[in-house]
Amino acid sequence: MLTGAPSQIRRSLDELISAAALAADDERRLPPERALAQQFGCTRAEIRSAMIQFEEEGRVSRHVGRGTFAVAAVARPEQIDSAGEGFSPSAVMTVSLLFEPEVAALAALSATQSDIDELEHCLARAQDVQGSWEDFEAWDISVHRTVAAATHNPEIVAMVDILNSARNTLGWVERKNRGVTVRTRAETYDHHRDLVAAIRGRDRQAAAESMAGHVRSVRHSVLGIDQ
Amino acid sequence: MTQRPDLSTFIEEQLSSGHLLLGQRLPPERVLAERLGCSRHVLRGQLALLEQQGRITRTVGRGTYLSATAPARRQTTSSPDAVLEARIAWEPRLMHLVAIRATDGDFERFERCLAQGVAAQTVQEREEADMVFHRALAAGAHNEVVDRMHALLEESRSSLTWGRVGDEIYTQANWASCRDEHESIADALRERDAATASQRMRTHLLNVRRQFFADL
Repeated sequence: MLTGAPSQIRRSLDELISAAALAADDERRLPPERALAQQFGCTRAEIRSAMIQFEEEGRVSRHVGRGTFAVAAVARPEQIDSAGEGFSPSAVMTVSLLFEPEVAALAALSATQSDIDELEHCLARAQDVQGSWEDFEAWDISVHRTVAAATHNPEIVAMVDILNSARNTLGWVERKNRGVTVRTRAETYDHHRDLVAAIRGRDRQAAAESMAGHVRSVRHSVLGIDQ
Repeated sequence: MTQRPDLSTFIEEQLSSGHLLLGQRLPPERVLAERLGCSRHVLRGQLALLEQQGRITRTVGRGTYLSATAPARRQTTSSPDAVLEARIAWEPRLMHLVAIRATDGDFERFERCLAQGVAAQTVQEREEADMVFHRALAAGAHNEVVDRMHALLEESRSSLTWGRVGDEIYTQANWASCRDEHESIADALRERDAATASQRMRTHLLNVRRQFFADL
C-alpha cells in the first residue's frame, strides 16, 4: 500500500456497505464493479480485491450472476462492544427462559390492535428472509422486540433489549456447532406463528407456552442440551 | 416531503427491526447524516445529546457505540407502576434460579440484609434496606445477565420520581409487613423451595402494587 489509495477505496466502500446494510431487504444490492471503479477513480481489480476482503469479513455476500449484496446490519459478535461480551450463551438462555414467557403472557393482555397488526406484519416478513442467516436472525430479534413493545412497558422493552443484544451471538455459536443444531427456520417460524396467534386470542398461557417452546428449542440448538 | 426521523427515532426503529443491537457500533457519521437527510453538523448535535444521556458512547478512533445498557427512552417514559409491573414479571421467576444457585455465602448475606431492615428507622434507610435485600437475591443467581437486568431495574427505581407513592411503601405498618415477606422469601430460598419462594415473591410484589390502589 504505497500510495494509500487502496485504504481510501476501502474507506469509501466501507461507508457504502454500511449504508446499504441498513437498507430494506430488497435494496441491499451494491452497484456493479465497473460503476464503483468509475465512482472512486480506481480499477475494477482494486474494487474486486477490496470486496473479497469485505466478503471474508462477512460484510458482503457475492453471488455469480446476481451481484454483490451488503449483509444486513445485524451485529456480529466482534462488533458488539460490551453488551454481548460479558454474557455466556448459557446465562443468556437461562434468563431468556425465565423471563420471556412472562413477557409474552403480559403482551397477550396489553397488546392493542395496532401491536397485533405489527406482529402480523413481522410474521409476514418471514417470507422475505429466506436468504442469509443474518437476515433471519434480524427477523427473529424483531419478533422478540415487537412482543416486548406490545407490553407498553419501557422497563420490559429495555430488559428484552439486553437479551436481544446477545441473541445473534447465540446464532453465531449455534452455527459454529452445526453438529448439534436441530432447530430449523421452519420450527422457529411455527413457534412465532403460534405465539402471535395466542396474543391475538388474548390467551396468556398459550402465549407463555409458545414462547417457552421457542426458547427451549433455541437452547437445545445452542447448548445441545435437553431439559 | 416525508419527515425524516431524528437520530433517536432512527435508533429506536433499527432496534425494533433487529438491525441494530445494544452495544453495537453505529454506522459512520456520513452514512447516518445521509440516512437522516441532515447535515453532519446537525447530526453531531444529536450525537452529543445522546452521549450526554448515556445512550451512546464515543471513542476516538473506534467509532460510536450504542450503550450496552441503553437507557432508551425509559427515563422519560417509565413510571412507578411500569417498574413494579416489570418486577412482577421478573423477580418471582428469578427465584427459581436463586433457589438452586445460591450459596451459603448468599444465605449469610440475606441475613445481614434482613438485619439492616430491622434497624432501618427512616424512609431513606428502609428504602436502602429494601434495595440491598433484592440486590442480594439477584446476586444469588450468579448469572451475569441477571446482574445486568437487575442493575437496569435498580437504576429505574432510583431515577424515577416516586413522590408520595414512595413514602407510602415505607410507612411503619407497610414496612413491617414488607420485612415479614422478605423473611419468608429468604426462608423458602434457604430450604431451596423454588415454588414457594417464587410464590412468596409474587405475593410480596403484588402487595406493594396493591398499596398503589389503596384509596380505590
